[in-house]
Amino acid sequence: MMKTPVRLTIFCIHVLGFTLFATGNTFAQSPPDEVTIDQLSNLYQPVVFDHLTHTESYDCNRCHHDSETNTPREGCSTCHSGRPFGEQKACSTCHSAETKKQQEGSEVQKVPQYHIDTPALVATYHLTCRNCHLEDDGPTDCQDCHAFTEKGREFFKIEK
Amino acid sequence: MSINTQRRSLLKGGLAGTVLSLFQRSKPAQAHNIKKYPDSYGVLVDLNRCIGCRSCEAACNREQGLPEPENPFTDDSVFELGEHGLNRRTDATAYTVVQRYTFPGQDHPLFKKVQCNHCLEPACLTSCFVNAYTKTPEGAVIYNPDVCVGCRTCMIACPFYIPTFNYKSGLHPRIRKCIFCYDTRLQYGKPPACVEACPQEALLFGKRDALIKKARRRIEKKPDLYQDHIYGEFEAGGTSWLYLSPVSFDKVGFNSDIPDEPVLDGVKNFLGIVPMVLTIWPALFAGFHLLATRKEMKTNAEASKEESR
Repeated sequence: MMKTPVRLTIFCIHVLGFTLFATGNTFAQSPPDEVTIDQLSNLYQPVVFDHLTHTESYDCNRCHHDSETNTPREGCSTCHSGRPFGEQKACSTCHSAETKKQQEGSEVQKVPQYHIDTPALVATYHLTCRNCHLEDDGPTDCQDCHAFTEKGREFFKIEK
Repeated sequence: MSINTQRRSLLKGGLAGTVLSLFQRSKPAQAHNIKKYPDSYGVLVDLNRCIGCRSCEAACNREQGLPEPENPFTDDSVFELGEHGLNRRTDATAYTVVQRYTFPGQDHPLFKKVQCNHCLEPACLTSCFVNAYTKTPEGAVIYNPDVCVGCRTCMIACPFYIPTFNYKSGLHPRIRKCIFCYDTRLQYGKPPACVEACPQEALLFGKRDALIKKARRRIEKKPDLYQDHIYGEFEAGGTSWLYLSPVSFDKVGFNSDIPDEPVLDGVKNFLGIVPMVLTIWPALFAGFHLLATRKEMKTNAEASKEESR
């Protein structure tokens, strides 16, 4: 029952996006309002991340250190002057969703003398989000962002 | 009477010889030589990253099939200091625990995961006279309950107070401690359960040599955030588990007085002959006794033969 209006909205967004893109408007690459982070959901439910609120208060490169809309982070610009900062890549390109794969050598670690300590995706999210929340008094308890799944309640031995 | 004096002098001679050999052997022990496994694994624990979520404790409990905890692993009250302001410790039902350290004037507490540090030259192993402990080439210090006699010397020997005793079954002695998930994971090159559960990569699994490089890099990049010291790189001869901390290590419950030499280095040679003494001496002296009393026995036997005739 709920699906039809949702689909309609998505369709509208797409049409709008396409129209904007076709007209050459810079908003064609406008960021999403909401991002569902579910690549890693197992013990916890997916995180519905309110991207819009965050973009209102922070620069893109506060989280996206490859963002071309801002100057590169300190320390990176020595080598990365223009590339690959120019490319927009998903976090998981360098921060692998599989921790083991990350530690055995992901793409970013092909330059071994510099990128020897790149965290995997799960740690990247937590370190980025939570550390910022600590600084700016955002929510920091596990369940503030993602509630337990049934599996998670079992894992932490929480009685039903 | 004459037999008695002989035995006494024999014992005296034996003891004197042992003591003498001890003094002679203790000299080369000064240049300690640790057998290192170059490809062994380790874990880097970063106190800057630990948030005290206790996922590692829950993972350990499941992986090792430990008893159900009294309260769920989400319960924060366990962090409160116990009697005499002591922090929580590992026991027979928990091979790893997270401790909380609060500092006046600081907004956020520090958390520290405690478990066996898997020394490169473990004191528990050196002290054990039945050789119940093994340091595997992968880096784990594992324990064989089948040969353990329950003397608990390892508990006294360990500089980190890690081995614990299961007092519930005195007849079947069993030391309980972290075994680096050797049976189920490490021997296949897989990270232990606690590391896999850590959401912050506060626990980082890898080859020990590579971890030291990564730790150095973290210190280099953020010198304000880290002490310029990797705890476990040299302590007690080096440990497989390594620690990074933003505050000096003695403030977060680490013993900073532990020397860089393995703690039992000075008495290693002595401890090495304990099993020999225990296994060989009884047989040796029983043999001496039989030899010494052979004549007497013979004459006794002859006498009884003659009597029977």
